[in-house]
Amino acid sequence: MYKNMKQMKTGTVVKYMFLLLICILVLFPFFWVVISSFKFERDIVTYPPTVFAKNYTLVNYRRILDYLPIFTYIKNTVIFAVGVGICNVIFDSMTGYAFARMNFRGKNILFTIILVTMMVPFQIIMTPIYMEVYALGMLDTYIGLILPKITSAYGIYMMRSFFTSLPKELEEAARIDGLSEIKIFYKIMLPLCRPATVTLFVFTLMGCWNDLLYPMMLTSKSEMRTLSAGVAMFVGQNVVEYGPSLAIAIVSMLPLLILFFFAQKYFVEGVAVTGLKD
Amino acid sequence: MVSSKKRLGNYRKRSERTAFLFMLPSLSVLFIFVFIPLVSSFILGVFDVNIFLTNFNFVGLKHFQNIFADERVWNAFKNTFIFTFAEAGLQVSFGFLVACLISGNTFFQRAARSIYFIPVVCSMTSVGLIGMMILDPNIGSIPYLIASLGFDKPMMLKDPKTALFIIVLITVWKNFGQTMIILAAGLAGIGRNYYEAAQIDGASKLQQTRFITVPLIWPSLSFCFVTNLIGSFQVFDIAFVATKGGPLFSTETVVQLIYARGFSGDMNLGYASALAVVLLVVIVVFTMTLYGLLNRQERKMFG
Repeated sequence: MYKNMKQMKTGTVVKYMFLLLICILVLFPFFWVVISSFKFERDIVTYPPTVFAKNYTLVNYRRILDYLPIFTYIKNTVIFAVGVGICNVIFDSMTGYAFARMNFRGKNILFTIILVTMMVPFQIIMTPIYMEVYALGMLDTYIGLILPKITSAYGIYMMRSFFTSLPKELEEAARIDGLSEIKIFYKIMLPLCRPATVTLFVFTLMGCWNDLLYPMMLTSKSEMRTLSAGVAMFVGQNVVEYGPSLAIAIVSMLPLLILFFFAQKYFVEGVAVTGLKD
Repeated sequence: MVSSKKRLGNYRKRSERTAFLFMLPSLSVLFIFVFIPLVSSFILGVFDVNIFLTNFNFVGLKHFQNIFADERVWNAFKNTFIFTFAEAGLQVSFGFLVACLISGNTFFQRAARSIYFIPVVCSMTSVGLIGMMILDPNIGSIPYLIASLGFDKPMMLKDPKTALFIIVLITVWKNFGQTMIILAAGLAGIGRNYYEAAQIDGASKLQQTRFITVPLIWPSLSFCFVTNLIGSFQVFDIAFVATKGGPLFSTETVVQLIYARGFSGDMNLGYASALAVVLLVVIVVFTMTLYGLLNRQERKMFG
């Protein structure tokens, strides 16, 4: 018994050491970037490289506000990303539910087609999409940015996977009680999938926030640009200087990181409370 | 008897209608903004046409012949395959390992869960920029650290032999948290009573993982692997930002080649579309085979 306890303890220590090591590997680059963004250019580009410098400065950050309408970019990005996120949660869970729980003709072939659309690299379809949005007169509008993205094969596939793993007894009981399909969906099945829907929302939000090519293609006015597109333009013009690029990289990541630290409560809780424990 | 059959038929018809109602918004958007553009791309593949859509010239299968004769295409496919299987394999196995280790509810495990997810939140553009600087042989701290431990200073992204592998590692570093979270959600759904029963039967931790955890989160596992594979086949951002396909084309992937041919340089949209069609066929064949295998396994487990 004693030996067993000791073994367990060693196992736990090894486990935590391993987790700690990964934490360091994950955090070190961020640590370095944050410190370097407060350095003068000559201290960033030195050999041998050092983590800390003698003098620190805010000049890299001050220059962002001079060159970029960063708050407009943030506003546009929030509208775009949140809009797409909400639409995806609604439409993907509806479609995923239909595939997981309903029977209809051509189900397998339809699902296969949806899977295939996920394999289409965006670079292949981007020119025709541009032409369609142009034809609809929606270039440089929020609706034009959001509409083509309100559903995704990835989200449908993900929601289908979660709905499939829920036990069938639940909805059968509800059906016997006389609930309509739509009520079964949003009163019983959807609440059970809250962790999955929160996950999908956050994933979609991040995808939009960090997307570069798509918003760059559909917006040309400066006041409609999203963060990643606007930042990419700036960094593209100033490749030689590392300091401002790092500062901008941080500012463009910061809102999402802050949001993540708030949403993370849902996230971690959601992961822990997946409705059906037994 | 007859009436009950009729009622069943009615029920079936009604449920089909509900199903299509549920799917209508998604299906129409996918049709307009993915399917139609895709078909248009196929059509562009048999024309000589530039990005401004002027000078349409029908050339038949000329582009496809050129593709198979082009060594740069073969090289790009080789790189893409190496990247895809290394990345998807590493990310899913590492993500699964970490998900198992952080599935408890201690403070440290909760903190680790959040920390591992931070890189996922960041854009590939910033990660590429950061990676480029930290791994730079002249100013980066990691090559310096390795050199000061007495090894030869590694050239990392500047060495054609290691560049692709470094790109794989950067991608896994950025994305493993995503796989981890999906699998952790799946793990949390497994009832504790299964493990309790197994413990009473004297099953070891490894046996519990093999016979309880893996089968029960199989749908999530196969979801992660398939989506990773598909995503990796389309790798573009990281190689584009960090290496531009170099050195010596050692990290040039297929999508990058499509971009290089169609949207920069000679702007040959026809050739790029034809190459895109070839890539799509390759991805579909590989993923569908894999999906079929995984799905058969899933049906065996869930009936």
